[in-house]
Amino acid sequence: MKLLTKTSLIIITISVFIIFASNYMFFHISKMMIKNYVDEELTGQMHNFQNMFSQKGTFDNYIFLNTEVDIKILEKNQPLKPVFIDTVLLKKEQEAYVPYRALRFSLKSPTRTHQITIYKSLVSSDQLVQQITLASIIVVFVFMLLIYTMNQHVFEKVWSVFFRNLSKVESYDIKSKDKLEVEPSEIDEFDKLNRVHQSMVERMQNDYLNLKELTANTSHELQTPLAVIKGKAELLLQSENLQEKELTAINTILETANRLSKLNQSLLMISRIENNQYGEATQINLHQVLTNLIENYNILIDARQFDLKINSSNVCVQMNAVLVEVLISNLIKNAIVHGSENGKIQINLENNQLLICNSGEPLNIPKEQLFKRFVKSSSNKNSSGLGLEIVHKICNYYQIKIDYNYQNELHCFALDFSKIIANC
Amino acid sequence: MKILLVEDEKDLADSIEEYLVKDQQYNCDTASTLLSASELCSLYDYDCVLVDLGLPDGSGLDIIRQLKNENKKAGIIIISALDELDKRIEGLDLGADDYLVKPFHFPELNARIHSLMRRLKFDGESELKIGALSIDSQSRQVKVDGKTIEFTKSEYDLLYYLATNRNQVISKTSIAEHLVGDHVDILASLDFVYLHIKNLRKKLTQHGCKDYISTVYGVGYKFSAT
Repeated sequence: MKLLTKTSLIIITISVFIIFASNYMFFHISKMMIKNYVDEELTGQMHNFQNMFSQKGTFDNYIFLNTEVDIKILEKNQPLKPVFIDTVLLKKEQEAYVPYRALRFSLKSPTRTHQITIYKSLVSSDQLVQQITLASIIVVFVFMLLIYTMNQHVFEKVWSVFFRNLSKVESYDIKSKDKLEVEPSEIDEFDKLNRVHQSMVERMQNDYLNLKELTANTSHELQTPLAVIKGKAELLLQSENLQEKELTAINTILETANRLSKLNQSLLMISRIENNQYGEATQINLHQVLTNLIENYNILIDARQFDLKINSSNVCVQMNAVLVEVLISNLIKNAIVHGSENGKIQINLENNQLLICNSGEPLNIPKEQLFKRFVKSSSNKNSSGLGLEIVHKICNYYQIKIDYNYQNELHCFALDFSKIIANC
Repeated sequence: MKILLVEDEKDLADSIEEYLVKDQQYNCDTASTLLSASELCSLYDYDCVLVDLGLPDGSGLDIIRQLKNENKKAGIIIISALDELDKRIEGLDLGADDYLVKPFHFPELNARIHSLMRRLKFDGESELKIGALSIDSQSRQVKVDGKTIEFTKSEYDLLYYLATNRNQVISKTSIAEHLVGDHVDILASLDFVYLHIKNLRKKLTQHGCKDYISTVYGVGYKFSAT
C-alpha cells in the first residue's frame, strides 16, 4: 500500500467517526438550547398572563401568540408550582400527534383557583434542528473532500524529494566508484535519512573495496611464496639417489603448488578485471587469435580425438590483447575439458559472433550457476572452477553478450561482439 | 656461459641460481636490486640476463633499456608475475627476447635459455649432438647417423625439450605445459604426454637411435645421455 493511500484511509476513517460523533452532539445540544429558549418564552408568557390577571382580574381577552392555552378550574383550592411538561397533542389539521412543550401553573382569584397550561408546538424547531444538522453534515463532507485533495497536493510537494532520492538509492550500484548523490531536502527528517543513506553506502563501499583489495593483495602476496615452494621442489626433484616414494612425494608437492598458483593467478586476474587494471584496448583480429590458440591446443584436441570443425572469418574487435586471449582460450579449454571423448567441437566465427560448441552430457547444475566461481559440474579436481567466471567477467567488462545453450547434445557458448566491433 | 639473474625474492633467486649452477653448469650472478643489477651489467658481459620486472627500487624494464643502450649482446628473458603481463609486451618491445610467467618449471626456463642461446649462436653452432642423435634448432631438423627423420611439430618440441633438459627428471605437467604453451587444467589429459613419449621413442628406436628416454615412476621422464 502506498504511503498516500494509507494515510488517506486512516484520515478518512477517523474523520467519519469524528463527524458522526460531533453531529450527534450538535443535534442534542441544539435541541437542548431550543428547549431552553421555548421554556423561557413560556415563562415570559406566564408572567404576562399573571400581570394582566392581577391588573384586570380577568383573562378572557388575553391573546396568546404562537401558543395555545387550556384553562381548568381546580377543585382543590390549592396553588400549584409552575411545571414544564413534554407532551403530544392530536392535531386535527395534520391528523398526527405533534410534539408540544407546556407550562402548567395556577392562578388564584378570590373565588377559585384556575389551572392554566400554555402549550407551544415544537414542530418548527425540531425541523430547524434537523435542517441545521443536515447542513452541517454537508459542510463537513465538502470540507473533508477539500482536505483530501489538499493533502494530495501537499503530499506530492513534500515527499517528491524523498521519492526522487529513493529511486536514486534503488538504482545505485555499490560497485561503481561514484558517490551516492541525493537531493538535499528542507525537511529535517528527510535530510537525516539522506545522511544515513550516504554514510551507509559509504561504509558498504569501503567494505566492498577492502574486500576486493584483500583478494588482490592476498593473491599478489601468495605468488612469491608459491614460486619459492615450486622452485625448491624442482630442485629436490633433481637430487640424486631419490627413492620412488620420495620422488612421488616431491612431485605431488610440485603439482599441488602448481595448481595453487594457477588458482591464485585466476583470482588475481578476476580482481584485476574488476578493478579495471588492464591496459588499453587495441584492434585485434579474433580470427588470428583463434587460429593461434587452436594451433596451441591442437595437441590436446588430437589426444582426446575430438572431431573439430572450424568456420572462421576475419572479425576485428577493440579489446585488450591479454584479455582477448584469456577469453577465447578459456572457452576453448572449457570445450576440451568438458567435451566427451571422441565428441564434436564446433567453432564458428562470423558476423560479430563467436560460437563455441562441444558435445557432452546435459549440465547437472542450473544454467544460471554456470558462470559462478567454484561451481563445477564435473568432479575433475584439476578444474579450477574459475575459467567461466573469468569469461563472464571479461564479457561484462566489454559488454559482450554471452549466451549458453544446450541443444542436440551440444553445449554452446555464443558471444556477441557487436558493441566493440572494429573494422578490419 | 654467464647468466645474470635479477630477482628480488631471495629464496626464489637461490633456487634458480642453484638449479642453473648445479644442474646446468652455468656461471650465474644474482642481483636483487635494480642498482646492483645495473652495476653488474656495466661491469660484465653476460650471455643471458633473466629479469624480474617488479624490483624493490624500480622496474626491471630499466635493465633492458640499459643493456640495449650499451649495445650489450646478452639475450634477455623476462620473468614476470602474471599481474605484470601488460608490462611484458613493453619489455618485448624494448628488445627482450622472451618471457616466462612466474611460477615456471625450471626445465622450461632451461629450455628457453637453451633455445635463446642457440638462436643468438653463443655456442657457435645451432646443433645439439647427443651420441648419434643431432638436433638442429635452426632448421628444426633431427638426424640419426646423418639421416633426417621427419618429425611433427609437437614431436620435435618434445624431443628438443627433453634433450635440452637431459639427465634431469622432468615432470609430466612441465612437459604438458611446454607442449600446449599454457596451463593444462586436466590431469586426465596428461595421458597425451604418455602417448607422445611413446610415439617419440618408437620413432627414434625405429631409426636406429638408442633409447635415451626412461620413465621416472610417479613423476615423469628422464632423457639420460652422458
